[in-house]
Amino acid sequence: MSIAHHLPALLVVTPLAGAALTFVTERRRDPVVAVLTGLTILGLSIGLVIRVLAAGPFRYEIGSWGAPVGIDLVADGASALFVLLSAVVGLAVTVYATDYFRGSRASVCGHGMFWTLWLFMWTSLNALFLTGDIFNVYVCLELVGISAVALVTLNGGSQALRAGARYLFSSMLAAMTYLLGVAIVYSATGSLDMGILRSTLVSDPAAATGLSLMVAALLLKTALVPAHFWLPSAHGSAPSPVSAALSALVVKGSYFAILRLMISVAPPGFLPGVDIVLGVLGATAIIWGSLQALAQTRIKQLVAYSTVAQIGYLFIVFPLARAGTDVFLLALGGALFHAITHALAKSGFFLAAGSLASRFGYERIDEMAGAARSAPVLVMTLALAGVTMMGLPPSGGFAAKWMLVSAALAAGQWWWALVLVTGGLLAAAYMFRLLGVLLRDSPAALNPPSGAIRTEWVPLSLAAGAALLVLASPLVTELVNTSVLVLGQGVTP
Amino acid sequence: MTEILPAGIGGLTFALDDVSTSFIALFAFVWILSGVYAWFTVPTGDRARLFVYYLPAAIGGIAVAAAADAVSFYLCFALMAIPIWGLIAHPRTHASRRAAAIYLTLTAVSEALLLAALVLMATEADGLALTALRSAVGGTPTAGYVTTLLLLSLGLKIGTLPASGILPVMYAHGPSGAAAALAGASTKVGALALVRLLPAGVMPEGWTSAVMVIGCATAFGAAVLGVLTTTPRAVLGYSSASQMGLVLVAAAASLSTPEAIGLAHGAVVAFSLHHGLAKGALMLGDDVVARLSGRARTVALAALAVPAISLVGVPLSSGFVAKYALKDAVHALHGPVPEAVYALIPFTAIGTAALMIRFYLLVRRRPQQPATPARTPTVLWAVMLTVSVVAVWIWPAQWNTHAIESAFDVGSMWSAIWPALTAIAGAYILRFAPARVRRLAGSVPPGDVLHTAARWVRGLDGLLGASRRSTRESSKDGRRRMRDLLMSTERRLVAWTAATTLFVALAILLILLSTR
Amino acid sequence: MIAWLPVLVPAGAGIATLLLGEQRSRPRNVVNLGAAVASSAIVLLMARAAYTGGAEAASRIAIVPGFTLGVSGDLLGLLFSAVATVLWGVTLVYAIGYMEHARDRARFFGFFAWCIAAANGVALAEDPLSLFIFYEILTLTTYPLVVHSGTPEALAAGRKYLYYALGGGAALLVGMAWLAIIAGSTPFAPGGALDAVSGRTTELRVIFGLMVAGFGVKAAIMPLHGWLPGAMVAPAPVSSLLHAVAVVKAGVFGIVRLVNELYGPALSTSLGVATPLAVAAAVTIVVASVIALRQDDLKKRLAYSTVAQLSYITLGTALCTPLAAAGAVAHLAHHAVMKITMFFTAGSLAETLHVKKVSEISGVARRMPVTMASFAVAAFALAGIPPLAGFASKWLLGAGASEGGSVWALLVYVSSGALAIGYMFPILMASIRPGEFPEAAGPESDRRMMWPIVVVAALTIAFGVTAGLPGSPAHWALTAIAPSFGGWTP
Repeated sequence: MSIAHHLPALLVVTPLAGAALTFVTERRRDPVVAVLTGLTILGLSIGLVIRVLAAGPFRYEIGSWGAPVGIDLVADGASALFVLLSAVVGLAVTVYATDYFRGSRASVCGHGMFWTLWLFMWTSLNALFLTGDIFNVYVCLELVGISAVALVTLNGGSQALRAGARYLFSSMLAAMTYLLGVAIVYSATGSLDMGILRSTLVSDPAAATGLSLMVAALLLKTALVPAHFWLPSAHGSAPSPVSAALSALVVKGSYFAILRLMISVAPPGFLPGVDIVLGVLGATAIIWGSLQALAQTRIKQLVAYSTVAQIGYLFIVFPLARAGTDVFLLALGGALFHAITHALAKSGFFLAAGSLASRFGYERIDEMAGAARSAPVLVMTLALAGVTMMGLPPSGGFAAKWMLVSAALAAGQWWWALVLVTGGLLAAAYMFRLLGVLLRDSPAALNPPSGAIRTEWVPLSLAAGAALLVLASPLVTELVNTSVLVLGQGVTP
Repeated sequence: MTEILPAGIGGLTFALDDVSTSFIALFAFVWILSGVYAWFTVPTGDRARLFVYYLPAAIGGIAVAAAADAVSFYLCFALMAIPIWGLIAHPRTHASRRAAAIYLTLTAVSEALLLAALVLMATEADGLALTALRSAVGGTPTAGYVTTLLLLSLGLKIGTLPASGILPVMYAHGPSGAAAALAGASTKVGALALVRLLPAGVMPEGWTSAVMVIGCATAFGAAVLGVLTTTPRAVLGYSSASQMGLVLVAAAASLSTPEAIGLAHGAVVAFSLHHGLAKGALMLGDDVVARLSGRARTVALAALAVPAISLVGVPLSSGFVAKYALKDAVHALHGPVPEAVYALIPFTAIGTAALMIRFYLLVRRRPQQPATPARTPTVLWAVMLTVSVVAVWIWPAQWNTHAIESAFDVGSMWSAIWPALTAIAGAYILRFAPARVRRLAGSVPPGDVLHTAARWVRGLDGLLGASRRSTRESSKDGRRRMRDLLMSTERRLVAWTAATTLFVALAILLILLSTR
Repeated sequence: MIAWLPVLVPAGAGIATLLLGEQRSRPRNVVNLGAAVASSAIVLLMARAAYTGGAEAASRIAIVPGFTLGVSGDLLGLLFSAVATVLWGVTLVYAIGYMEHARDRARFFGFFAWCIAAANGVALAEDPLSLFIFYEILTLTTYPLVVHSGTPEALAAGRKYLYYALGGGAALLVGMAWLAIIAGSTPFAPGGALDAVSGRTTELRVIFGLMVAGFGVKAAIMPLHGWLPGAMVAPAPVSSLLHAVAVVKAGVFGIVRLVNELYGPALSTSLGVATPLAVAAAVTIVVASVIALRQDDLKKRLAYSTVAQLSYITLGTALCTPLAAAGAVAHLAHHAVMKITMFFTAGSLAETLHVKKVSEISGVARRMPVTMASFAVAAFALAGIPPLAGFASKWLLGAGASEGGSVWALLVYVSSGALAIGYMFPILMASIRPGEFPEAAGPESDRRMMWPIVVVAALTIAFGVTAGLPGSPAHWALTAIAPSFGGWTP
């Protein structure tokens, strides 16, 4: 079916068209356009998932040029999974934003630039998930970064500007490093396509250096400790829909790129020791991020550091990737599952926190005593999101933790299991510290005002989805299995 | 299933045989008569409060004689024993409540041990019937455990040394009718249990000797304590403990010699009947005397001497029969210990006589405070007296035949009476003893060691309750310091210079690793 | 599919309750009571089918790769489920009366229903992973109930509960994952499911230890019991149902499944892991009973009594003999009704008379005779007096102990009975003493609080009196546990 074959291109073109439309039409029509675009993207993503499950991974040559001359898009199980994830979260964020940016915060909307920037970022994200060559990754990351910086500074306060500046700086640093790496690799191997690179990379110090630089840059983009310094301020100062998208999708984008590089592109044994370093840094991130989250006094900062910690989980997969096929499948499934559930839960969390802040003016955690009575739906959302982040059943976080712990034990590397379990307990510590304040009996607690549906029920659905995601694991497993990461080689249509 | 758990409450069995018929007659008579006595003597407002405990205790106390399996036995045992605390605590004084607490504690321990013994026996046996349980234990390694547990448990019930104080504690408070029931019936349940539960004829020799020694020691020791104690009822309590020591001796005879089982059981039954009725009569008599004045009181005092001397075992009294049965049982055994015990039995009568003299003197010395009603109690008491004098003689059983035959034999009459004469002589001599010696009398509070033990327990409790120092303050301080440390470190990491340096270092590290 | 209903019906009731909101109390009560009656009926019908050797309907859904979330209606699980669900209905009536003047009732009843759903999940789970999932959900759903009043003490108690429960959950997770790695999916099977890997003794021992640590938190084995006395700050319906019935029994139930149907009595004995567990349980029984003697706060005294009674079950299971195992399971049901009576009474005293300490209790019997009479029934039952419920299970436990030659365990059981008299009877004795409370003018307390107490006291009597008959918990337990012991028949 020809439309099915063109889905990758459509997934990139549609949000771009939407962005252009919002730029052109009147400001008050922007929300409608955005929502319609989101719905279309959701439909297309579902189509892609069905296609990949039915027919396996495939390549799409833009302009029918074909690699190595042209740019290819690759759609496999993992891409479809992430595209679907960004569609769901993106639609939710869009719907939420239509209500959030009304009334007193219309000015924050940056004079209507929010919609354009947001749809533009969505374009770049989709392109990133579908990309098939390493230079394209650079382009998409840059585009995502620029739009993200702009979105962060949208409300114009000095704090946001400082955070945005920091984000911009680190983004540029990463981009430079990445470009350097790409250049080195290209000069060593003569190709930019991932599939071709896999078959031609040999044990060559130059290529290895280039690849390492690329990985380092992507670590900075993904905010893995110690390269996390830009994230808490950026995610903490942005408007809530932006923070949600950043935590849920943007960091997953660069992570996805690392997965591609480390597993699909680099042949086994090509980057010895790097995977161990990634694992150790991941473990450090889990512990350090959780401890920092425990110490925070403002809710958005708490959530941001929680993201730093949860990112660490994603990197435990690397040391386990070499321990045999079964272990690798289990670990990879766990990492991807974790990425998805974290995205859903964290976006729900940020959106709910934003609603709390906007409705009641709560920013500091101590001010929120007794909110359980005045905003029960929002607090429920926070609780459900927290359940996922703690990795407790029946959430997807539990499934992810189970898979990772099992993989670690099966590989005989039981120390990772200890770290994962400790991370869960620390997450419980900061989540229940928050919930404890919310459940406190406070005489000043107000009666709930009539619930605004979009700003309450949208986050709740996201968090509830994450909390029950363990039920969707067969689907995820299927998609993981049809992923190029598993098959380990380039695919021809 | 029915082997290990009776099928619901319908699975409980009750049956009567020789032994149980004797006991049930005793229990029924004592509980009912004492109950009627209590009804007439307790003020109307307090009656309900008394009988809400009395009735369950009576039901349990009577039914226990007919219980034929382990569960029904335990049920009736508990049903009787637990409400008794309410009887003891009835006067609502501080002392009576203290006594009730001591009683309850010891009962709880006793019941626990009994349950353990029953369970052990049930495991060895096929089914829950008491007859099966008793015979199943023989020869198994658990026989020792079972016997020990039973002796400990029942020892607490019948006042074996060193727990003799429990009986005075039980008797000393509570209205007279209730105390009479306790003295006459509830203590005898221990004797019943000895007959029903002790493994008979299967234990090694040493057990018989050991238990006989303990019983003998109790008989003497309790007598000494009782002579020195303060109130008439307490004296009766120690007297019961002493007599129960003799019951224990009788029961011991059954432990290792199958031929002696019948005699031993007969002796126990005989003693229980005799002692229960006599003690009940004494207890009621104590109250009746207090209600009368003038000539009626003198007559009552004289009549009170009858059960007293009966306990000593003078000729023609019920005690005479019981002692004979006991001597027969012990005589059937051979060995140094049984023979020594046989020789000592008459001397225990001296102790009993001393106790009775003390009791009598205390009753007579009490200031006269006539109370009403007096007629009904006196009539009831007369009934009890008559039955106590006659019952043991006319009971159709094996154990009184020998006594009936030797009732008018001069030798046996002398051996029955000289202990009493000795005691009377001794009492007379003591009247001239120096004051210091006379003051010894009254130095033992009812309950003796038990009160000391209770005080120790209270002290231990206070020690354990020493307050723990609150560490909460220091931990809160620690948490705050931790938080400050975390945030300051992070601030330093996040600063531009540190961050970029770390990033560059990371990149170099990766390159080095990959190009090894 | 039917096997899912005991989980789904209360879960649905919980969602409905939360959605109905705080104001609509009548529909909320109707929904909850209706769900309780419906679930109880379903569970009892399933039990009847299973009793007559009938169907054990298993239903599964796939979760993580290689594992399913599955429930099945086996006799053992249905006993626990029946206890939790039927007592839920009774507790609802009590709670409606108790919480009359409380706030946040929608939240309370909603999470309450979810707790029962999770407890039913634990009961009916057909394999260890499913049991673990519901077990952790139970931890989460109980938290809001513990901290319900929102006071600093409640929040501190909730925090302590989480430390313990989540810590235990972490140990359990590692143990389960490890077991899954070496043995794959191992649904519970009477007599044990680990024959394939029985050779890996060291690993199996460590896994056993981890899983006991995990279950031991909720089962209040010392020293993991620390959360329970503090959790008494929760409202009385929570203490009654959850901390005497659902949550703590989930812990011991986990141990029962672990020893009887995962490892199996034979493997547990041969690995040598049963004896340390028995010793720990015995120590808990004695120490907790002694501590209970010294508590003046009524609910704390009951809490320590619960700790001791739970270890009755653990000890019975660890003895690995048929009678002891059956007695343990029977005690699960018997203790539930006994203790719930006592907690209901404590709550009623606190709500109606503001009496919270044993030292304040003088004269209460005159003021609340029916309530205290029910309490007396439960106290006698707890002390092991026939023909009440406590005697039947204690008899079975003691017989099981002596059957296996463990006379020391028998002595532990009987001495703890004596200690139970020691800490319960002073309450009764004090209540009968003349005190400051005049006789009640009208009904002695809210009728919705009084009648449930009478009902559960009646159950205490009924379970004991019918103990050997088919259908009683004791007989049920004997039938359920028999398959785990080879050819043993009751």
